[in-house]
Amino acid sequence: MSKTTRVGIFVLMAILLVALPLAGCKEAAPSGPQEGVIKIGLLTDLTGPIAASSVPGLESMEDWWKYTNEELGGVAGHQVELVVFDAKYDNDLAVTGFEKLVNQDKVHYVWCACANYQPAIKPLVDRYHMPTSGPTEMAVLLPHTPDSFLFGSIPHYADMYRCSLTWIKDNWEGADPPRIGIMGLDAPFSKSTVKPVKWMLENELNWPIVAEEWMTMAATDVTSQVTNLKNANCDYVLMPLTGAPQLIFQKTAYAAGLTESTRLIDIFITMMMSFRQLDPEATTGLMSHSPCALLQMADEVEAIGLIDQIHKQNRPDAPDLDWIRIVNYGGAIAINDIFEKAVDKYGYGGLTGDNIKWIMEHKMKGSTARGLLGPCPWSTETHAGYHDNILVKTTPDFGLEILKLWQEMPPWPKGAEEVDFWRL
Amino acid sequence: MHLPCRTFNETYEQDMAVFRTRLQWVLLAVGIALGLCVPLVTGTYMLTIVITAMTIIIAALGIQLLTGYCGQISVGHSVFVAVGAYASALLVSQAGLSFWIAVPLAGIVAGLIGLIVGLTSIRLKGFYLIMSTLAAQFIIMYVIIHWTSVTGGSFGMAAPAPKLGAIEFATPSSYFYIVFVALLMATYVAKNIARTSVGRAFVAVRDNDLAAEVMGVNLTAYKLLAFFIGCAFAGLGGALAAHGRGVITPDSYTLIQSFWYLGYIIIGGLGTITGVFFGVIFVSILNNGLSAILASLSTVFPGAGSLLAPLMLFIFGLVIVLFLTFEPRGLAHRWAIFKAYYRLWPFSH
Repeated sequence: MSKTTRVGIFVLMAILLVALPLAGCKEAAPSGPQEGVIKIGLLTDLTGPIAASSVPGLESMEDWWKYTNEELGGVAGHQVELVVFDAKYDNDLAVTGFEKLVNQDKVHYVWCACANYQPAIKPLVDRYHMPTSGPTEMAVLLPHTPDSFLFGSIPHYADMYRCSLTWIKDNWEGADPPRIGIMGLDAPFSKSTVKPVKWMLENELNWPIVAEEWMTMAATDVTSQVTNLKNANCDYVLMPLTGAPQLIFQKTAYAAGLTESTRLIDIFITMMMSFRQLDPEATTGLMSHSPCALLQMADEVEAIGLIDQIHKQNRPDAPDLDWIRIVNYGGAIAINDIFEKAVDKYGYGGLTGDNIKWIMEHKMKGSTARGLLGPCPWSTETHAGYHDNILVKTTPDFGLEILKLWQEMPPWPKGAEEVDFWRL
Repeated sequence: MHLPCRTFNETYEQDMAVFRTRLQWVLLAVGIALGLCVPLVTGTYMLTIVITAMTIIIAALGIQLLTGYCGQISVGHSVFVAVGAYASALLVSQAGLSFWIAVPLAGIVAGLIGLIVGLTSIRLKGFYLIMSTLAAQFIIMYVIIHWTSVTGGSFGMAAPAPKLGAIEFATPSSYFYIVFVALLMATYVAKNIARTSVGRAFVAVRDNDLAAEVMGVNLTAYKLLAFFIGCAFAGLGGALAAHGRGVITPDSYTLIQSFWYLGYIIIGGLGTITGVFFGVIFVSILNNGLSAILASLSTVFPGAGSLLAPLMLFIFGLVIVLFLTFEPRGLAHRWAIFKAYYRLWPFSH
């Protein structure tokens, strides 16, 4: 290589090193909200292992706010601006991103798309009094404490299983109690689901847990787990899994014939059209639970028609509305309603974190995001997320058979108010 | 070598001095002064990036001594960062020790754990040692995740902000100074380890362990020492990062992170202390710069974020590959060439 080329490359590198910080890393003083603009930060994953669910969620968020700004003239007359930060499924990057959203972009509210980030950003959320919620449960921080600014937008997964197991109890016709298997994932959300569910099985239902298997987020082979579950002759397998591990488990379970004799109960991911399209057979016949109204409920929930229209208009080539899209629309509408109420009470100048939190805890209780989500407690009395669920079963044609509409979660015992109740 | 014109070493002290000329001392003073001013001129976001980079540099100094100098390749460095983080948090929150005692102790704990892992280096080297450190990554993370009563398991645990009397270093602008001083001290120690007989023994082991042994270098002792020192630096960096962030979660210490530690010293330059700085700063600027550009483009082209984000990863990878292709000896080598050119200017030969 000639000296000129080497010098050229070096100069190029030097320019990059100078240009990149100038372009982005410098503290952008004027990037705070323009007068009258409501800024919402989105801490999400546009790349990484769960981008498959985060990207459709982001699209739905963007579509709702575009509709709000263009068709409705904004929220209470104020345009809404979204600021996106790609945290790449990296906790450290999520912390940096949260700092950026709060201190550089000066957002009024943060939508945190990933449950794993919640423990990492929790100290910052509370330090900056930045109201933060997401389409995920509060895996770590139950119960919601009065001083916390971190909220959930759907029930805890254990709450959802509580609904499912209650439904099974009401509909079980066998002479002996159902045999339960558990397929857990080595991740906070899954562990905090398994422990209370086991408590319910052992102390309330007295159903035998005949197999308990675990897998890691990086697992590529779950043959032994599936074999053990199959040999245990489970009637139901509870599988609080997500993403690639769930797909691997389902494919293996299908290939091994586990799904012929056993009904798998997942959390909600099988409802994602993109996920199901990867392997429709492996996702057929699963039982699931949804904290949000589904496309099949267009007759019951008026907002389904509206968001379906927005979705088709903006994403003509995308799959139909699925769980991840609807729950993000629901989240956006909930935020929309929060800011309408906050502006009404405090005015634009009063949109502080403390005031927004007050609105969430006092004015949003029972809100359903126009019927899209189960009623939201968002109070300090109990869990931070919505409580009611729809129970569904997947069908071969990608449809969903609705087993029960908006089943209310039975209350947990008093011990559930302790964080340790949820930690495995 | 590479002394400025008209600078001659006449004594042993002059020959060994890190900062040899008046200009170098002035530059050091100006650098420290500018460093101390960083919290005054930057916002919290930028400061968070800087603090993170500084803690990574401290941890990466460890792998530079272990791998860059001593040639003991470790693909489990992030797990020693985790050990330091957890050890410090536990010492503060459970044992009630002061942050100022807990952080150095955390470094020692990580060093001792590293020493145990390093025992395998007595019999293993090359790919086999890599497998051994890979096993350490998984075993130690398994213990951290499943020893729930102590570590909080997958949920992680809190790492309280340090206090000095009535002063609490809870904000990035105050915590910066602690990390800054720690970085100066760590760099000073690492630089001097590299320059002493220990450092020379490390290099001898790296270049040809058989020849080193023939020359009288105790391979067992120096390999173990390298593991202890390298992991102690990792623990120190991990402890400082943990208390700055306020919370520790196992997801921050993955195998990918371990590979990145190797990446930092390869990009910066193996076997140089300045290379660590170059490597971490280069990756940090590239990573955060591209994120910022993505955010800016997303504002200009609303809705294009999901399309542009993978493109940014592509650019990130491309820059790294191009860089390694055209400058495999790292940024530190390029910096050395630049310095030599500057010192000899206007005479290039």
